[in-house]
Amino acid sequence: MGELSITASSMDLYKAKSRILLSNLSSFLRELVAHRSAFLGAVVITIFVLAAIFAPQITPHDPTKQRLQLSLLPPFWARDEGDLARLEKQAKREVLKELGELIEIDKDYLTRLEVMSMQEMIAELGKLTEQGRLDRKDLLSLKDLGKKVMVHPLGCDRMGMDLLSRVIYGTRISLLIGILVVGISAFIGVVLGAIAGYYRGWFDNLISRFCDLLLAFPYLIFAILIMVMMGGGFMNMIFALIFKAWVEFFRLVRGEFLSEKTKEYIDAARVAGQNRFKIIVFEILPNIIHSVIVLATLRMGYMIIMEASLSYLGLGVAPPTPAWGSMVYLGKQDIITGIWWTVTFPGLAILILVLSINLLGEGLHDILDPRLKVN
Amino acid sequence: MRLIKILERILMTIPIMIGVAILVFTAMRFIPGDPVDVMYGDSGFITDAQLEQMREELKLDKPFHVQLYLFLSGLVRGDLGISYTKHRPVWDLIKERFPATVELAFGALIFGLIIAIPIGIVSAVKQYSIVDRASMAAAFVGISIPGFILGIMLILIFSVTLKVLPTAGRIDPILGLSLKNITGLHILDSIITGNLPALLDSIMHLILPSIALGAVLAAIVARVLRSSMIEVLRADYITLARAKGLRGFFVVTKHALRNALIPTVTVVGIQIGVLLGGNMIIECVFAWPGMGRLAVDAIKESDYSIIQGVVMIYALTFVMANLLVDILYTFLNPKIEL
Repeated sequence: MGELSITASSMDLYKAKSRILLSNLSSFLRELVAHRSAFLGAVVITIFVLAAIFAPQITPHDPTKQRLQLSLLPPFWARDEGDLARLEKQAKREVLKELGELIEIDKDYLTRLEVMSMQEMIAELGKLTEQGRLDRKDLLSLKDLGKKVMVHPLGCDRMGMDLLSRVIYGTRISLLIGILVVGISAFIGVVLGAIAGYYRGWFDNLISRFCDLLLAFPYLIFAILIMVMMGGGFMNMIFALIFKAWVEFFRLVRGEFLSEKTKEYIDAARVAGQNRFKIIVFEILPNIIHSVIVLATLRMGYMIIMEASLSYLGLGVAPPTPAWGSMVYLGKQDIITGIWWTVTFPGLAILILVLSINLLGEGLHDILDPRLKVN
Repeated sequence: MRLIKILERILMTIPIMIGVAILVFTAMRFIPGDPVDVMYGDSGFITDAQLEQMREELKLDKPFHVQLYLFLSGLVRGDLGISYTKHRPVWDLIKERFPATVELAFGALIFGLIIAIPIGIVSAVKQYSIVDRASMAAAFVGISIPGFILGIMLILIFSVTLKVLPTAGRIDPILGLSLKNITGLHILDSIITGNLPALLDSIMHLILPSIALGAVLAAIVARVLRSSMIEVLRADYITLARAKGLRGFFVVTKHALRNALIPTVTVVGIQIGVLLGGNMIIECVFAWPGMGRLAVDAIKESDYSIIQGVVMIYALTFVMANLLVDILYTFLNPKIEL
């Protein structure tokens, strides 16, 4: 009988807890929507995340496909006759190449087709269909190919790779770096910070001194040191950034644990017979996790800047893999001649994403930090 | 009492610097490959015996702890080893480049503070005014834009389109020949020697990199100064000062600013690290012949001795700058002990 009632009450407790959690969550969401700048940040970040996930579906081209004919093609509103001619020539060339693979055509006919305009060529190919030499389905796909090749809304880089596709695919690297570096660093920092802050002693001393050592390096310089040691590439960059990024989380969590530990509810939990692990994870952690979330959001923007900086220095993800920093680096060599688009679009992408993340981070700070609410 | 605290703080930097040296040295030994191969490997003119002798000269045949000892004792004497690719002492290479880096860092610091301090004060005094909102929005962009992108945008606008400022370098090469090298700081040298054309040209070259590097600093300092000013202006002693009939301007600059500067100084101290790291990239963007560019070129040539030396100097500068900030802090606020 007694056991039953305990079970019932713990079920009630569970229900009550989850109800509180739900109402907290919904009130958090309401506050987020009401906080205009944070909400704006969240919306833009969502767009970037969706773009990263659906990059293959929404990009017009393979981001690493090089069309040297289209080298440094300007964005669509800044093109002159020559640029349009280059585009059409490239489209015709790809259509003819595809045609050559579909059916056999003799050289003379090919030369005749080559000098025609795109429109004339499609009309000529229509005749082929009427003669029954070319499938109607193939004709349509050739037409589509021709149209597709002409679509480069933001122009091309020096290697003739489509800028829009590269900017969209570049979102993947930036977001992945931001999420992985911050996520893993926060985890390491929280675990070590909780242990150091709760138990103090030699462990705290050891880790804190190691942090002092790491803090003697400017962040970027340290990341460069590690990357020089391990070589470039995506995984090494994540490692190099985490190597120092956890320190801030460690110091934050350690400090919070030091002050929380002296509060009455900890004594109450101890008297109630909870073990240390439970006190750390279920009593203290929920009370400080909001500051970890705020720090994590703000650091994510910084990590994206660091990734771009390392890629700019040629230490990050190597081209032709699309990453914003290396795109800016490749574009930099042409700016003296007034080629602005190869650097501006990836640069804008970094700025807008980091700006949105920072807006969200500051908004979360306003919403989640109870100390601010009192004021 | 304060002196002892400061002395203690100075002594604390010594173990940190030793730790930094050991960490950098160890990291460099992890790099696969042999420096001697980097130096002469592909030339084909050198026999294996000569390579062996080279290794002996560079003490690469010694065990790790002996090499570490030699490295540390060399550091104390200001010996950072010999560049593998340039065959010159790393210390000399850094000494040549250091003034350029210092000049750029100061340019950025001055730009940042000149922009940030008035903005921070005005935004705090006229809270929620248009000026406040516009400058805080600008500051928010400032903390979100990477310096190298800002730098490239500035080149595009002011050098390529408007053609009013130079794109790269410290000084026009021909004017540079006329400039006597005294301190290595072009602006100082041209003032000392009274070389007006060189002075103007150096300043023109310094403007864009300083803005690109100093923008983050300006943004952060403006934000911190604004919020601490707002807090200070609410304090009782400010009300008292106003009640005594002191003029508003006087109250703000004399009474409030001094106290509001305390958190600002801490932030500037933290930002020095960002300034040093960012400086490396900005030097690349503007082809600025400083220490950062020396390191980036060394990365491309796998010249680890230079990288090692430059990282050490960066860390040392950073630690010293933080020390200076901490000391300044005690003088600004006697209440706080180190």
